Parts: sequence; structure tokens; C-alpha cells
Amino acid sequence: MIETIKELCNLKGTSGWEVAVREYIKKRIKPFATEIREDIMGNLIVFKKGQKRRNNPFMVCAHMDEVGLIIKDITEEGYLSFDFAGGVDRRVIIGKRVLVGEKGIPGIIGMKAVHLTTKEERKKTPKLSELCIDIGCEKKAAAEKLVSLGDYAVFDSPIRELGENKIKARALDDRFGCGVMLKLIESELSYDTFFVFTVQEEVGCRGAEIAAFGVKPDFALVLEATTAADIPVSEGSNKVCVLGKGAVIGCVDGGAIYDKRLFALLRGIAEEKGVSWQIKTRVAGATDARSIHVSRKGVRTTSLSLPTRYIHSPSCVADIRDMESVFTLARELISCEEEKLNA
Amino acid sequence: MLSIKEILDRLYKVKSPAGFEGDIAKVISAIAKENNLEYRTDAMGNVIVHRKGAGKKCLIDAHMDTIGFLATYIDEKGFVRFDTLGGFDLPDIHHVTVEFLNGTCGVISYEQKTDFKDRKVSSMFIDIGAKSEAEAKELILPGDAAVYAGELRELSNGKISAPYLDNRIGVAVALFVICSLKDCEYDVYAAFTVQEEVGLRGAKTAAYGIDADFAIVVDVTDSCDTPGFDGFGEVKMSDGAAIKIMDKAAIAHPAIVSALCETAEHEKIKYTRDIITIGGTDAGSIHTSRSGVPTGGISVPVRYIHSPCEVADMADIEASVKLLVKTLENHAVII
Repeated sequence: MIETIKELCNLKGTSGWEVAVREYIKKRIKPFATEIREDIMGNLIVFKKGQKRRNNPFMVCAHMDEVGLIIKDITEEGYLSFDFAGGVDRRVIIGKRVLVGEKGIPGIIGMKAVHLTTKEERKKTPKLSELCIDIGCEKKAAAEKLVSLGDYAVFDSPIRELGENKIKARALDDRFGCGVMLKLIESELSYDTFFVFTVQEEVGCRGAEIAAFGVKPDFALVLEATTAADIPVSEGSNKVCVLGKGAVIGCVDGGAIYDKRLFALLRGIAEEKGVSWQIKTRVAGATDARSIHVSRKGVRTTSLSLPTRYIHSPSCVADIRDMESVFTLARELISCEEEKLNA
Repeated sequence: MLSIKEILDRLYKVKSPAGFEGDIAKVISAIAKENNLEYRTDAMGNVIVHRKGAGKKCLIDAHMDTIGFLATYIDEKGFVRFDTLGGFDLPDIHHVTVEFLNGTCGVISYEQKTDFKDRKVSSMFIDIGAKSEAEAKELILPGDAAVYAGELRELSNGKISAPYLDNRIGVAVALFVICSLKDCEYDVYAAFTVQEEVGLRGAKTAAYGIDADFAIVVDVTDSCDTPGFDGFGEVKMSDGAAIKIMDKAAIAHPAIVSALCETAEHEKIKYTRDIITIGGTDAGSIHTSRSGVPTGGISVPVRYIHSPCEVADMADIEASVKLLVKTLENHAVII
């Protein structure tokens, strides 16, 4: 699974531009899926037959898109001005390398060197309008040969394994979830299951809204990466969740109050199988559940998330053991008979 | 048939913070059953009560959730960190008593030496009297929810005070009305919705499931008659039912507004026109459901909304009941 997640993290797929991720996934699942279709927004909807039918359809979901940048102007001097697709903190992007467009034109988000800035300037985070991408071109015309307005850019940040069980990558949010789904699709399933790889989560859970409407599930499981702040500045509840302490079972976040019965069921499975789990200690963030749980007459929705440090930055850090915990709980949940889900 | 006050008394026996509405759903279902009405619960937990009729489908909506607190973390000394379910004014929750769903009581306080203006929910905690994390976890776990502790009390002049008049009042009105309607040809559904306080979520799925021809939302509205309110809104306590013109999530459909106003004039029911400038109601989710649902509302004026001691006037509640009953029984006027 970890190798799959690494390959997925290497693909470029900013919100609205998920095509590379979608094509990779399509290729991988072809031999294993019963039915594959793409909806009008680009969500990839996969049905896989299990040993048994389900009367109440179950949908597992992860988003293909990642946060990134979008090019909105090219200056006379050949610099690119940009905006964000999805939520990014300006403070984490300065001095970082980016890859622009499909061809991956290398660039740098530069600013004046320390020698030239005043104390006052160094206290403030520059506005987006004060930052630009330097792709090394000297004239607008030269830059236009490499980059078009509206091109997307992603951070150029190699994947590395760190210290003990940790992995660092750019798009763990949410290629991790896509990777877990790929492994589930490649395995034998007890029950019929829908797997939905969604678009445009990072700009407002948009893909999931129409995917859920189209699939009409009764149950949904969202696989996500979620924010961990277990770093020296945080204590106690401000850590939100902690790497290495297991899968985060959805309780309440900014987008949804997750289904209580599925929460209890997942917690029970985790205790029984000895899988470590936690809940988030702050009501913050949101997942595709925000759109899914209120679709049509309502969908009983739960989530399993990977605690991830520095999420939405060029270098997200997560724990491989937590990935295994999420995978195990996801597999167990979709193998539950209907009576258990409805209990 | 129960009186409004009797319904309120039964509703006040249970807690229903957003996302934890199971207990109040049971009370509502039981009252529906006693009145021989059909009811069901949808995937989100909304309770939908049905009074069959041959005419158009009418949806009466009242949210049954309240604002509340969610335990998120228990520290080594047994203090409980929490986050909020729904919107609070921070001053309202300093040193109030709260009660978890399982009856465990606690008091909200804040980290000493934090300036009032710097106080945030993250610098506050619930003291449940436990000496250690282990002892606290015997009583409650992260993920458990709590509400303001407090009972329904009677003040003078027919006024009542309690936490969560928002929206126990709406639930009581909607339930009383659907149980007591007589000459009504509409096919009436009353939806008692979940999770209004966190973003009008339950109403979205209830409205989709019911697919109504028109809807009337029963909720509360700020009573603009206490010191400092001079020159603000029209709605004042004891001035009767407040007919929704708009809130932050919906503009009421003109046909519903006129049906309600005309009924009030005709039946000589006291009313005011309600324009809510802070916050939305379930009308926001309902009016854009499917291909659109003409939606209006009746609001009951309440003072100190979202505090532990909201105040309302029983006479306004009675006026709202009468307005809703008469509007539905005089079915020719709507849509």
C-alpha cells in the first residue's frame, strides 16, 4: 500500500485538474473493478461486486484533488502571479519550488533576500500580490511559450521516509485515501461496494455532492487525511490528533456530525481487533462527508482519517502505522453484514 | 390531547444537543403515537410525523436540536476540554452549569489569568469534579455531549424562562398543531429536524424526503425590547406571532407571507413581521430543496437566545399556535 500511496503522491492533481490521478487509478483498477464510470464533474465511480449483495448500497470515498496554485497573470518581466486552489497558508510557500502546468515547468516562489529586507518587513507575511513564481524567463513572450494563464502548479517536494515509520510527501491529503481504496478494490470483497474517487474537495466538497446524488448510497465511509498538530507548540487538546496513535474515527468536525451508530461500530471493531484509534480533540476542518451526509434523504456517513502534520504544505508528514490502522478498519467496516450496520 | 405546556414539560425531560437528538426523537414519536399519527425517522435522525389529507403537501418544520458542548479531551487532572455544537456568545458560557447526556454534571470555567478579551473556547474547560484523567473517564469520554443544566420556570405575566426555548417552543407548537388540526385538507407533514444549530443540515434531507408543495418553519426570533435594543427590530415580546419576512438563509415566499398575514388579520391574532439579521433558520435548506419549495415561517419572540436563560411569553406561543392552525384549516389561501 505504501508504494501505491507514494506513486499517487507523485502525480499532479490540483482541484479541477485531477486527470492524471484519475487516469492512473483507472489503469490500476481495470482488472479488478466490475464497473467503472466517470460523471460529468470527473468523479470516478467504481463498482465492485463482492461475494454477497447489499440491499443498502455502501459507498467508500476519497478525493483525488490536492491544494495547489493557479497561474493568473504573466508579468512583462516573465514572472507568474498566482492564486491558490484550496486553502494554503502564505507563510509556508515562500522560497519553495513549484512545477507549473502539465509539463511541470520548474519555478521558485521567491522574494527579496534577508540582506535587503527591513526588520518590519520580516515581521509580516507578504501578500499574495507581493509574491510571484520565477521560472527563469526574461520576457513575457518567453514565459508564454512555457506557461498558459489558468495553468495549475504544485509544490515540487520529493517523497521521503523519515525516522521511525514516518513518510513525508506533498499530496498525502488525500492520495492516501485513494491508495487505501485502490488496495480495497484489488482485494476480494465480502459485499458489493461503490468506490468513489472525487474531484474538487479542497474547494468545497463539490465533487462528492453530485457523486453521492448519483450513487444514492445508504451508507458512506470517507477516507481522508486530517490535521495533526502534535508539535512542540501544542499541548493537550490543541494537538487535535497525534501521529502513531492510530486511525481517527469521525466524531464531529466543521462539516458534519458523523453517524453515532457507525462511530460505535468502528470503535467496537477497533477494540476487538486491537487496532489503535483516536478522535480529533478539536471541532475543525471538514471532509467530503459534509456534502455526502445531507444528500437526498440523508446518508449514514462515517470517516476514517490519517493524522497528518503540516497538511496543505509542500511537506505533509504521516505515520505508516496509522495508514495500516485506517486500512484495517475500512476493510472490516465494508465487510460488516447489514444487520450490524443497522444495529 | 396534551396542552402546549404539557408538551413543553415532556420535552424538557430530555437533552438534545446537535447530533445527539435520539432522546427527544423518542419523546416526539411517543406523542405522535398517542395521537394516532404515523411517524418515521430518516437516515439523519429527523422525525417525520404525518397527518393524512387529500390536498397539497404541507411541511411544518421545527428543529429539535439545541446548541451544546462536545467533550474533546480530558487532561491528566481530570479537566474536560470541549468544543461547541452551534453558535455561542462566549460571555454566556462563563461559569454555567452543564450536564452531559448521561447525567454527569460540570461547571464551565477558564484558564486563570487569561484576559476576558483573549478568552476562546480553547482556553476554557469543564470541571466535572474528577481528580484524574482515569476518574474523569469513568464518567464521560471524549465525544460525549453536554447541554446547559436548567429547568423550565415561570416568571410573572405568563413569561417562561429556560435554556433551549430555541427551539423547544417550535417543537411544541408544531407538535401541538399537527395533533390538533381538525378541518384541514392539506396532507400535513411535521418534520422535527436534527442539526439546525450547526448549519440547517437535517432540514435538507427532511425536505428532500417529504417533497412538499409548501413549507412553514416554526422557530424563535430575537425579541428587540430589552435595554439597548432601541431602534432595532420590529419584533417585541407579547406582540404575538412573528411572521417571517426573511432571515439570513431565506427570504420568505410572498404567498406564504400573505396567507399568514391575512389569516392573522381575519382571525384577529396579534402578529408582527419578522426580519432576522443574524442567523438563518431551516427555511434556508427547505426553500431550495429539489426544484424549490415556497417557504415561510412563524417565529416566537424570545429574549437572550442561546443563553442559559432564554425568556418567552406563553401568550405569543398561543398566538403562534392559533395562527398556524387557522392558516392550515382555511386552506384556500395558500399557493
